Amino acid sequence: MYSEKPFLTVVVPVYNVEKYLAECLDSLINQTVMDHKVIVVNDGSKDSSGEIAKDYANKHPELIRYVEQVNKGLGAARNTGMALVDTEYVTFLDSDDWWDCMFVEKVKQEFARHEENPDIAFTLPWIFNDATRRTEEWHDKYQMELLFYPNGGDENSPSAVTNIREKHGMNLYSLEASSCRRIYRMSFLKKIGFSFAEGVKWEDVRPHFHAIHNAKSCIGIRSTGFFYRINTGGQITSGGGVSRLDIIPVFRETLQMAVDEGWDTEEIGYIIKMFWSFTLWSIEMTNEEYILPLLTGVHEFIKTIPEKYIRLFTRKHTPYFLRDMVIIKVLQSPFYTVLKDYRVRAKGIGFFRRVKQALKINRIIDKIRRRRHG
Amino acid sequence: MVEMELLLNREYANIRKAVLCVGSGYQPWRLKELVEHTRLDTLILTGNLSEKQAKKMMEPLEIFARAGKLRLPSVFKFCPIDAVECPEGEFALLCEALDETGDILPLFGLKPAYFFGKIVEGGLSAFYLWEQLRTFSKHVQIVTTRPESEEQVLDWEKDPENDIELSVIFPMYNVAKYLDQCIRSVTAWKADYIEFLFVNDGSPDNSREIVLEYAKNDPRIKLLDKPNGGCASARQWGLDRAKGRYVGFIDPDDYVEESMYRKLLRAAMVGSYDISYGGYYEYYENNGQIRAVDDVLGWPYNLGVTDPAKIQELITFCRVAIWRGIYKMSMLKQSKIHFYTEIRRFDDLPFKIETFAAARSVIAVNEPLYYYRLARPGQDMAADDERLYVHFPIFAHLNESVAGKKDPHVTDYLQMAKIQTHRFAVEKIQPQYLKEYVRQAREDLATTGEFRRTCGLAKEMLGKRSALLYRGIMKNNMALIKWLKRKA
Repeated sequence: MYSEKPFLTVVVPVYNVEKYLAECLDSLINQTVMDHKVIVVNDGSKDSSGEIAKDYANKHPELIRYVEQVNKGLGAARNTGMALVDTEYVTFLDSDDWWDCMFVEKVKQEFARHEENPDIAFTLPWIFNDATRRTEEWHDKYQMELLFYPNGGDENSPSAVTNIREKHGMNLYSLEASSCRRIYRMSFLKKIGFSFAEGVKWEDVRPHFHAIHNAKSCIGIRSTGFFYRINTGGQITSGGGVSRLDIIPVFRETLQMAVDEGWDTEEIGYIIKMFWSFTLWSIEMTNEEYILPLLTGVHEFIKTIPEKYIRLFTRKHTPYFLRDMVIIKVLQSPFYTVLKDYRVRAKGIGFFRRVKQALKINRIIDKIRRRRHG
Repeated sequence: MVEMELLLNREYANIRKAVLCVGSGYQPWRLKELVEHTRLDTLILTGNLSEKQAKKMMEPLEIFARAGKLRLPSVFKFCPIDAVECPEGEFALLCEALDETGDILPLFGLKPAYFFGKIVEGGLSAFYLWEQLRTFSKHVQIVTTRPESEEQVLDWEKDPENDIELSVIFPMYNVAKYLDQCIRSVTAWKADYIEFLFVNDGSPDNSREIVLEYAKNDPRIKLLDKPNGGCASARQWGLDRAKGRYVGFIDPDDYVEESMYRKLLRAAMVGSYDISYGGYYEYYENNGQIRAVDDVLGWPYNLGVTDPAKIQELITFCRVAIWRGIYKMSMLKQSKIHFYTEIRRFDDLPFKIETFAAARSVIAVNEPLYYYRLARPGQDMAADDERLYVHFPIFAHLNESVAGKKDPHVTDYLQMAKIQTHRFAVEKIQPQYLKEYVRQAREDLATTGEFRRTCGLAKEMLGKRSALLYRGIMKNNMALIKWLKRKA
């Protein structure tokens, strides 16, 4: 049943998830094709997750390997697991999510359609809403299909092979940064010295840009993926805490890496784009306690970004360039603290909408945009 | 892929056999998808179809399979609906694109261990199907598609140790006079998956005996005795001992529409809502008048909401009435919501605010279902003296549990709820207690909001009068407050 030399390893970092862990590990055991290994990294859980994982490892010694460490965070746990991988490919899975039972089978099928093995394969996950029990589509499904299946086709048509230097290849950067939806080639990761950021949240962001920048070939697998569980806790407990502040160091590091390595301006525009969407979203989600530190952090960071990148971003990457330009200007100015009140933000956005409607500006914007993009 | 395949895959270790019941509108490509995305060993097609129609559905797949592009289940055949060969062992019954939801009912005789299906709103409800299945099925998931609205999912797994879905808790103190009417109206629904917990809060009258009399003929009625400690402690006592997945509360001096709990439970389960609530009547005992109360029940709440902003609005705008809804037990446990037992009255005010702040999804049943008895001597609502000071310890608790979460939206709605409560109290309270009330209200309101901001917010959300009252309280303008009190 198990293959001698599996081709894929999945690293599962575990931290206080006793409620969901069994479901996660069951989905890894019950695959239609068994050609994978599992490395469970217990990141110093305080509940019974460690025992559950150990139990599974004892029952399936040929499949699951169990390692422990003192609590260091998700990024560090993934790094620990990654260091132990001896297969050609590696992927990650968070322990409250689970795999489709045909994950390995479909991945192998897709790999068999390509002569050369890709550096990165993107799968297409689903979102499972724990509150409504509905299964929803992944956020960037259509973007992914445009990238990898430009000609449409059915389930059995092979994915296009692409990288950032191909036409439209830059759009790879705007896929979700989640590491769990990717399968990386181990030799490629070793070559580029890939690792996750430790000690911060949003540990996926820098590796996302780092890996895609260096990848020679990326493919997409749209027929399978993992299930991403959302909406598990009370909405106010899951809201913004201190971890939201981590977007600043994370993006500062990413931008630094890009500038140091002399990336294209175009590529840096995509970093700013992701930074901007994270920022807007974090500002909305952060609670009263951390909103001011967050705004201050953004204010200081955004002042250090060279003007040419910001101009590139507002011109090319946002559909609301007027709105975003004004918010950026406010954030750069010393009056950025007014944004701490959600009513001010909502009213500001309402104001832009009204101005737009009054001036019938939409048509003008469309015209400018059409001219710019030919 | 749709839910059905995903579910079959999730239970891949347990389900290898399935019976699929379809209507004549079922498309061959859907069948192909189902076969392609799952790894069933046995798939039996059935439904209101002729042999010819079924053949038309299955033929394309067989062609694909012969070309090596598709792997068919080892048993793949059609059976007419009245002669389905039941697979051995556990199997899943699936249904999709039925002409009439009722077409599936004859197949329930096969006692499937799993049931996954997709039905259209308007025919038999998912709740009805679940009621038929619950005794023998382990896992039932039914997706209801609705026109112009999102799908709802009934997702139910059997708990082998506990088959109670709903617990109704009656905190009981000196209500013997009204108990008959209450018990009769509640027990009229004869489902066996509910339990009625009567918590006798050291009542000196004969309510205990009345309940025991009813319990003889109805095993669902259970009596719990506890020493006297007030309504909140009685509710908490019942909550600690309730087994249901949902829990409801009734005041035993009121009575309900006979269908109330069925309607609430149906709304809650079809869509797995955290809270489902209905409207209510006010019943004036002195003159026998009945009046339906205006409340937030209509769109979008009657279709079910999952948007946090919409749910949080209810903190301010929904009336305080704990007994007209049912609450998911897992939500109460996860958010650690409980009654503050040291507070002797208005315990439903903190409960309302905390539950709406924690709920992830809410649905309203847009009709009055509960009769709330008013104008009864000794009732809470009648208080107009220092008993109204009880609001302050309540809000002190809420400052910690709700405002402590530091979500700016929730804090604002809490602040609005405070202003509303204080307005109600100020309008009601006797003049000699007013000054002290206003002093304490000022301290309380200062903790959760800045003055100018709250003024604007109150004007926007609650109207001019409430904003003025807030201004009066904060600036200690007794003339303004007294003027507002006269105008009320």
